[in-house]
Formats: sequence, C-alpha cells, structure tokens
Amino acid sequence: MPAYVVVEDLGGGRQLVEVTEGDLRGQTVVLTSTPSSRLRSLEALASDPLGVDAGFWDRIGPNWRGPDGRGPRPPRDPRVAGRRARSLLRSVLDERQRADYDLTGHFDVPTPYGVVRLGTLYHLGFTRSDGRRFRCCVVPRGMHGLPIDDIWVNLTLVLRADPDQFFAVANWHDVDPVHGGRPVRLGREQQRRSRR
Amino acid sequence: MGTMRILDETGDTVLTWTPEDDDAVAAAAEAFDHQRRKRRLAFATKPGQAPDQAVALAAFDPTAETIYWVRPLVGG
Repeated sequence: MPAYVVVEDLGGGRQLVEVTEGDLRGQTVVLTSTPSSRLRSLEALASDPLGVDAGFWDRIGPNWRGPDGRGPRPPRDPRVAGRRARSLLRSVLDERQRADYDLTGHFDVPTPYGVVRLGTLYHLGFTRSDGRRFRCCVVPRGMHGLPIDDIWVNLTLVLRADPDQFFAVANWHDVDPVHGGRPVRLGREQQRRSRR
Repeated sequence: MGTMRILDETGDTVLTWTPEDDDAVAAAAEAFDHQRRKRRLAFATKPGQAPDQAVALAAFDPTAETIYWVRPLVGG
C-alpha cells in the first residue's frame, strides 16, 4: 500500500507530500486531490508516474526548498525513470509509430531526405529517398544515464524539427549489396579510394 | 497551462506554469535560460498542436503548451 507523509500544507487544497513506500518512495509531489482519493492517486502514480492524464498532481518548481533545505528529489528507481520515459515517448509518437514500436521495438521517422528507423541504438536504419539503404549512428550528447526511451524522444524531436542537425553529425555505414551486404564505413572507403 | 519536459536520468523533469501567474512564468523563464546555458535544444508546441508539429524554440514563450528539452546530437 503506498503511503506518504505531509511535508507542507500549500493551501488551496494542495499538500506537499513525500512518498514513503513503493516505486515512488522518496519523491516529493504535490497532491491536489481530495483526501479520500489520495491513496488511490498514489497507487495510480506507480503506473502513471507523470500523472499528467490524471491531473491530480504536478511536480514542484526548481526553486522550491523543503523544511530541510533540500529541493525536489528525482525518482531513485531506474524502473520509474524508464516508465516515465516510455510514457513521454508514447506521447510524442503518432498512432502508427506507437503501434510499430509496441510490435517491433522500432519505428520510422520520415524526413525530407528519407526515412530513419529508430529502435536499435548505434545502428539506426536510413532509407534514402532514392531507395539506397544505410546504417547510421547518432546519439544525444551526454546520453549516459538517460533511459533508452528518452534517447528515442531526443532523436525523434530533432529529426522532425531539425533533420539537418541529425544528418550533419551522423556517421554512416553503407549496406548497399555492392559491398557484399556488410556494413562499410564510408569514410574508410573514401580513404582507400584516395590512396589509389 | 504550459509544461516544460526536461529529459534527464529521472525520465524527465516536469515544470508547469500558467501565463497569468507572473511568478510561475518568471520561474519557467529562468529554467528555460538555465537549459539554454547548458546548450540543450528546445522544441515547442502551441495549444492544440500535436507533438509532431513541435518546432525549435530560441526564446521562452509563455504561450507554448509544451516545451521539450533535449540534448544536441553527436555522431556515434
């Protein structure tokens, strides 16, 4: 059973509480629901950590400090972070992308240059507009520590709104059958050609 | 109500504000500038827009519905 302790009464029916049990243990959240529904709300938080759809709580601002002088603390459990990231990813994908990701673990993002397939880290598929296929590797800077679904959110948003940034930094592997179907790093091939 | 979603190791950190609340807008603007100084990239939707219509945002817009903060990309 989830439980919490009231840290501060914020007025207006809002209370700042610290969750003391369950996946969200250690989190400080603002509850805005009626007292009788708060335990149900906390149970719902475990399956919907963002709580955006439920609308009964929100995270507090970056400047808040509790009586102990500490600011809001993030979830300690990586499973919670993973669920939050999955929820965010699903919210930014369209219906078809969500279905593809649920079914295959991959989804396509169309760009003016072709379609990028996300789902395998360091090994993204790219089918150029002329049909030629490549593998490419692009990651968010300083991504270590990010849940994997946050990485897909990151790449998806940049691909949609600023695809040139993605293609400007991508490292490429050609999967054209002329290379025996094996990935060949284009940069190395160009170096070989320049030596001839 | 505007929402800022800052991708991080917790999944993301969520900040909210209402355009009518000057203090909340100021706090959100401060958070925006903080992320910009960290060279993060902002993409935003207006009310009623789907996430696939998010566009790059260079300065804080209190009328935005959602602002997503992501990291710049590097070749792997």
